[in-house]
Amino acid sequence: MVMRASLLYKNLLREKYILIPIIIFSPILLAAIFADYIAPYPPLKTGVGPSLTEPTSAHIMGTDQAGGDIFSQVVYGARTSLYVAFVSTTLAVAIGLAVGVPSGYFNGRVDEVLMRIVDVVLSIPSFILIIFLIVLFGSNILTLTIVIGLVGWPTLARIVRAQILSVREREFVLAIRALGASPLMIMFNEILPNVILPLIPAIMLQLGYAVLVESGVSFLGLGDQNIMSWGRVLWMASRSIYVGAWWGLIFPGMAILITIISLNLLGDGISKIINPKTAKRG
Amino acid sequence: MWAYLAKRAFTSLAVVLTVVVLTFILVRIAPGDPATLLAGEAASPDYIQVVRKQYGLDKPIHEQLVIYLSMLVSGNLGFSITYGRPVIVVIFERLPQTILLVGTSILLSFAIGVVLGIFAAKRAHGYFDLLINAIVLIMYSIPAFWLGLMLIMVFALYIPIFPVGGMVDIGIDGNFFTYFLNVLHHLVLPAITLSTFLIATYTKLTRAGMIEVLSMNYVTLAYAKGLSENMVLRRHVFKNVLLPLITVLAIQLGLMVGGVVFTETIFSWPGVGSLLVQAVFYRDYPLVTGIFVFTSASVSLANFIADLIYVVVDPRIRTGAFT
Repeated sequence: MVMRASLLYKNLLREKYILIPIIIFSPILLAAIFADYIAPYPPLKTGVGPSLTEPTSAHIMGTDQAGGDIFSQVVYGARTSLYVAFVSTTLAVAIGLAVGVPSGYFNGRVDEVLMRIVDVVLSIPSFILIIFLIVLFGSNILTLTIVIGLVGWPTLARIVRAQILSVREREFVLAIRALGASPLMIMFNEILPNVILPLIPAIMLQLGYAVLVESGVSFLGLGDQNIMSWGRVLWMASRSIYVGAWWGLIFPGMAILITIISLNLLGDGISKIINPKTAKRG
Repeated sequence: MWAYLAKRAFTSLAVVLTVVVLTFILVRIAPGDPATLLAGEAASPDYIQVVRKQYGLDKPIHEQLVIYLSMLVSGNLGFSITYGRPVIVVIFERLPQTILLVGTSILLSFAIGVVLGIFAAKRAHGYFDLLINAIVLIMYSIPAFWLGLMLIMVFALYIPIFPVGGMVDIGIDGNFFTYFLNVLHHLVLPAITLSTFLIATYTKLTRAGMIEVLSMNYVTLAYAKGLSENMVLRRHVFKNVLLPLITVLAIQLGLMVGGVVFTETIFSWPGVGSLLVQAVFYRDYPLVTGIFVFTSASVSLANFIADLIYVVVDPRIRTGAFT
């Protein structure tokens, strides 16, 4: 996948639908960045209003059982979700590259061993492993982030490997190799730039997975007690729905859904921009 | 074919071994006393001493590993303090309910997903296809825990046509038939919750597979021979589209585990998933570890069985044309 910037730009202009996820996702991104200015109350503060009030002008998303402002919770929840997603995905990409690049480049026995490891890690039920690790090491946001990164890399490693296999035999790589460049130099200067771009759709999926796992863990009551999270709001709301409090369920749930839908759409859109031919088929 | 199966069997065994060694190491590097982690937080000091002896925690680490492995091989996953019974017994009591829920969801999503995918592919890029794509995107993105709660709120609280949870009404008596209907009634919402993601996956894959196979030369030839559309689809298309779904199902099983945990917890479904959450809540470490090891082994076994089925039904692998 070697592509000139101008061609990429042309595809970008044609693929207008990519604006949809960008538009629906931007409020969440802005909420995460400017949470301190947007949210009227601190995320963990209770008793800022009466218990379980419907959405009103004072509390536009209503309040929870303990009188916490759900709008503030959702705004700060965006920060937690995106923080966990970005950091854990960066870790997953780093490991994915560290495993995928040598696997694809050196081929042979290295490849065989590394890919068996990928198969094995991929077959471990990752969600239970995450819960197991949280139980053993405590539910701290950093632990959770690292753990999500540690289980997320195998798919990325596979894609990197496949990409490298197709790039390493290309003429420009052969030419550089003939000029006497070291494998390390070839990997970093010539191959890596051609691997990152096709990796973006998979990165989007991994970000979505991280958002899902983070909120899921908090939803089970296993999240960091000092940090607000969409899953935690849902966890609290899951008891209040029996007395008719729908608002605690709707708003954080919509936030998660919008985030994951826009990440999926972004992934689809980007893969169409990078690779218009194969995308048209599916 | 044998080489292929041997490779798959090796991977499955490697998964189980990795999980076992991983739990062994993690329990020992985790903060806190390994003996407490192996006994459970509710254990008495006397019992912790018993466990210390049983697992050989005063012996060198490699001897501990041998002891642990030989315990596992003999089916001993430890003892659950909160249930007062061996972990394996507790898991097996919960297993049938989980199999009922997972099995129903798989059948449901396979049936719905394949039909939707075929219809979407028939008029690819038409309005119906676009509509299905939009629905699939939402179904694919919706978190199971949120969907489950929404279903409870709408169909069990506002419009109370389904029970809020459990598997069967307490104190129900009557014949097998009323019992069966009662369980079925309780199964509807959890099964919808668990299948949603799978339906989306199957629809997507069936659609993509159909579009690809329909563009193949042998399909064009089949039409050119004058076969009816039904004939072409039945004889030449469906097999090539549906067979790969078996492998996908096996891969999905591992991912489904998370959905099972949420669904069972939300609907108080008495299966292994809700058992895990209870075990975490009571800090019943042996039970948590046991469920992790047991689930990994089951998923690996299911993967291997899926490979076996694939080999049996796909002549290309059976004859070695494909590895």
